[in-house]
Amino acid sequence: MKKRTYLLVTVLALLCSGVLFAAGGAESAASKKDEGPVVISYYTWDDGSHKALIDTFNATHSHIQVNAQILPAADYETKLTTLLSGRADIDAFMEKRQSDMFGQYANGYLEPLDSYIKATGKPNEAVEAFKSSSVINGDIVVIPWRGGAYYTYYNKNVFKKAGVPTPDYYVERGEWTWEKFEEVSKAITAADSKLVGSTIYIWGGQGFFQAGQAGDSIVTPDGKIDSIENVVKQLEMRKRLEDVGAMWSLIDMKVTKLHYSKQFYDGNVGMLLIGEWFPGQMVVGAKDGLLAFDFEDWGITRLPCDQEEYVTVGLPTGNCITSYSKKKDAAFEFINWMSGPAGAAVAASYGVLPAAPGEAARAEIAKNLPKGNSIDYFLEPKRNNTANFSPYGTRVETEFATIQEDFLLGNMTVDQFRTKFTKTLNDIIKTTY
Amino acid sequence: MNTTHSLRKTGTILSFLLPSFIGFLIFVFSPMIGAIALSFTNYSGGPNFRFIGLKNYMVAFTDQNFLSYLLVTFEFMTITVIFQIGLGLGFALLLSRNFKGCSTYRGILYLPNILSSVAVGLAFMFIFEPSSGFMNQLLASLGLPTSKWLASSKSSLSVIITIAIWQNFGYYMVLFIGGLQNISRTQYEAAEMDGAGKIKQFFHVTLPGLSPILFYGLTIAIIRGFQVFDYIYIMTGGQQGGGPAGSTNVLAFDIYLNAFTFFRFGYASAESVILMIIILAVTFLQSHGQKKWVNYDIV
Amino acid sequence: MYILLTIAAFITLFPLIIVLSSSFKNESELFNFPFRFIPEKVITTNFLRLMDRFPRYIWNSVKLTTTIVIVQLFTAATGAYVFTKLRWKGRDFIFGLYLASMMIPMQAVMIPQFLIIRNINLYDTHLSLVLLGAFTAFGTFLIKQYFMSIPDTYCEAARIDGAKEWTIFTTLMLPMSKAVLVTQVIFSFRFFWNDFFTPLIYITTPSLKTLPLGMTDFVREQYVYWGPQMAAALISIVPVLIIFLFGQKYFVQGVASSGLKG
Repeated sequence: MKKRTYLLVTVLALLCSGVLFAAGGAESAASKKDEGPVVISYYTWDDGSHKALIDTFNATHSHIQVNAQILPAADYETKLTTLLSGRADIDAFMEKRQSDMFGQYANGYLEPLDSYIKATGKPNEAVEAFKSSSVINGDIVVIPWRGGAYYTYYNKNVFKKAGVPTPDYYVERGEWTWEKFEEVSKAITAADSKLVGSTIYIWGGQGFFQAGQAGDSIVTPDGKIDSIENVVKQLEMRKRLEDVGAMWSLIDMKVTKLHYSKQFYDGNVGMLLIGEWFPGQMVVGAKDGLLAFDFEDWGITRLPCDQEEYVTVGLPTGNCITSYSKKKDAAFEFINWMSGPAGAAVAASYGVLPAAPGEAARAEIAKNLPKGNSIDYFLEPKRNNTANFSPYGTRVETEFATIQEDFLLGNMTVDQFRTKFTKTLNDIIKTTY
Repeated sequence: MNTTHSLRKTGTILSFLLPSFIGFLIFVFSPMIGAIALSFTNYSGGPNFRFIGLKNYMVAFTDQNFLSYLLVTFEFMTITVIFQIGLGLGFALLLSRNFKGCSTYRGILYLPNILSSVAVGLAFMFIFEPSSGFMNQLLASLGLPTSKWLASSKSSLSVIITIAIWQNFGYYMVLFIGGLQNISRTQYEAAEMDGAGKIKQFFHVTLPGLSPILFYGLTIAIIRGFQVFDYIYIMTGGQQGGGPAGSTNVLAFDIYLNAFTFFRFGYASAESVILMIIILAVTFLQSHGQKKWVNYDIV
Repeated sequence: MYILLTIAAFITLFPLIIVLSSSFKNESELFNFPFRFIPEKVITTNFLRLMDRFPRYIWNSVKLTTTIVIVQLFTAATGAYVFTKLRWKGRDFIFGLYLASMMIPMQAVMIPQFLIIRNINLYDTHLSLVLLGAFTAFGTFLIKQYFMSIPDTYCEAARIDGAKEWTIFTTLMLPMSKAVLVTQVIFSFRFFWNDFFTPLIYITTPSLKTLPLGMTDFVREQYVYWGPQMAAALISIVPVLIIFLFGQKYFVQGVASSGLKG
């Protein structure tokens, strides 16, 4: 008798599981004949510029309306994956972590955009500017709207207080190497211990500046380990600087959740190495009264670079269309617009560097930067390398972030780090299936 | 006559059973089957996945990191269980008899337990702020060395363990108070008449009498210890959490990381199944052991 | 002994006092040394900052928690009744399954659970949280233990008098079990009021967010505003505290009976 109950329950459960798992994706509402504008469901994270772009598009396009779903930035990638895996109602979305695209592509979520672009009659400028990071397996999967580039943002007051020339002085003389960067950071803190020479944020990928500039790719797309020496080099530099207080401790930042913008706003940091979206945050900071110094007292210049020809790092941010969307044409029109000159102008007004800035954008951008040579450095044409853009990218970044903490805490020697990191990379390659 | 009666009876039974059973079947039991099924695949959030047999399990057992997560989880579980039960029992002994102000004390000591772990985590992050947080100020003013608390791989886990104990010992205290109050006075009187001193009474009356509840509390504490997630997530960086250098990376967090950051749902499911089996094993051992020391007769 | 207890009480309350005090402080004062309990400048802006969306979060939490608590009370009590006062084949086996489910870590089932919720089109709804919370092994177990301590003779007598089971349940068992039912309400309320993880996964739309989710609003891209953070923590504590203070009497009784007779 008892056996029968066991059987019954198990069968019931299996039936339930089967039915519930298989019932997926059934479209419940029959779509009515559209009389009004086509409404597309678009996901992005909370950033002023994003909202402005959506509002501007909606105001200027009566036949398409974007229904924006704004998710908090902190868990955006998680949410997005959850939504995609459940085939939530998404027509297009903004990609926050570019290496996620590989997984999304492998799962068939990304609509290849080649044919749509071809139908417009000309190649998409933004895509062309960032070809290598917009294409997976020969398919264009994303249209960038925000360019990727990292810069040195510096606080003129801090440099004055320390009696050190600002970084652009060295750039002009072709001397702005990583060694010089280290020297300058130390000099600032040596002059006044309350000043922190420089700060680089906690994301794992921030440890790959030198590697990216050298053209390394940590793990190549086909699963081989490239050189990790530049990663080691940068990490050692970080440790040296943190040990004398010339660079903000990474672990402290993580634990206190102190954001790089606040560090810079507070006016005690000499240099911040971060991406092209930062002028936008400076504008917001000034507006909210959080800047401890005058808006004219900061500047932008090149990233420190050891290579012959200047190259910066940074991946562009772009939009993708879901393969199961029922409104792909409308979605394409939206994301195409965002990457074009109209979208670029809106982006620029928020201090964001568009992927394909037009003339109007340049004028807008200049308004949000301090006077002087900052705008020249911000907009100069430059080479851009994307280290760690591969199917292994996310895991490499996350695992590296953990191991580097161990190293920074002084728990391992450089050789131990090399061994551990290499082993980790091998494990990642082996267990990505 | 008989069939209608038993049909009606079945109907009644079902009417009482179904409310909880449907929820159980759909949202607990079948997901569990689903998780086991997923653990044999390389599901990554989309339609393109395949069956890969035991590969996930093999990868887990040969992964150095996985083993270290297990260790951290065990460490967390053991220490929190010992202190939560220990402190809970200690205060319960103090507060089980009714004296003036006892219910106030009970209430206060229980208070942390009703708070959300998010609120608690955030509050303590503030208190243990590594540079100018309250704790460090206090220590400095007393001339004691300060610590980097959550920012150091050595102290991070200890901080979280302390916070977990702070928040939870009250629950066990209240549990044990109930158990203690349930032991009838006559047992003690009898023991006293036999000439047993306070200590002997404790071992021969209190502990045995408390043993069913002690067993229950121990079981719950162990299960919860294995499943800890909220503190780690809130206090060590959310999506990028896991404590400095992975020192607070517990299994539940790693499952979350693998599932929602790396999208390795298949592997994460395998890890969950392993965790589930471990919990079942420990609880089973416990329950077997109960025959030796848990005494249901004394009341 | 009083000294020991007072020290313990102090240590226990201390962090809460810090939260209370910090929530009224200005951002710049928060990390001042030495720590002052009464802020130099008492401000209410921390709370005001929360005003634009916290009322919504609080309302969501109240609505959701109350619903789940009621549903849970129903499923747990009916479950407890069917496992104690009625005899049927497979009863112990199924209850064993319920018990076993207590050991399943949340993470083990969250992915399949999510897929199920999504497949019935309930992602990003409050209903999904209610359904997920409807079944409670702990609650059923708790009430079952209590029911077991009520002698069967009451029910037998009522049956002999010809009363239907539901009548017995509602007019006999429930009224006698007030203590444990209140306890269940407290446990249940506390758990779901503070539940962070499930809404994290299932709620996307800001207007549906619950309080714990909302509290992490200030821990975002920009900086951590500790002031509003502490104010938010304070707000989340108050409702549970009130319920606890009111139900404290029943509570100790209820928790105590939950561990009885294994």
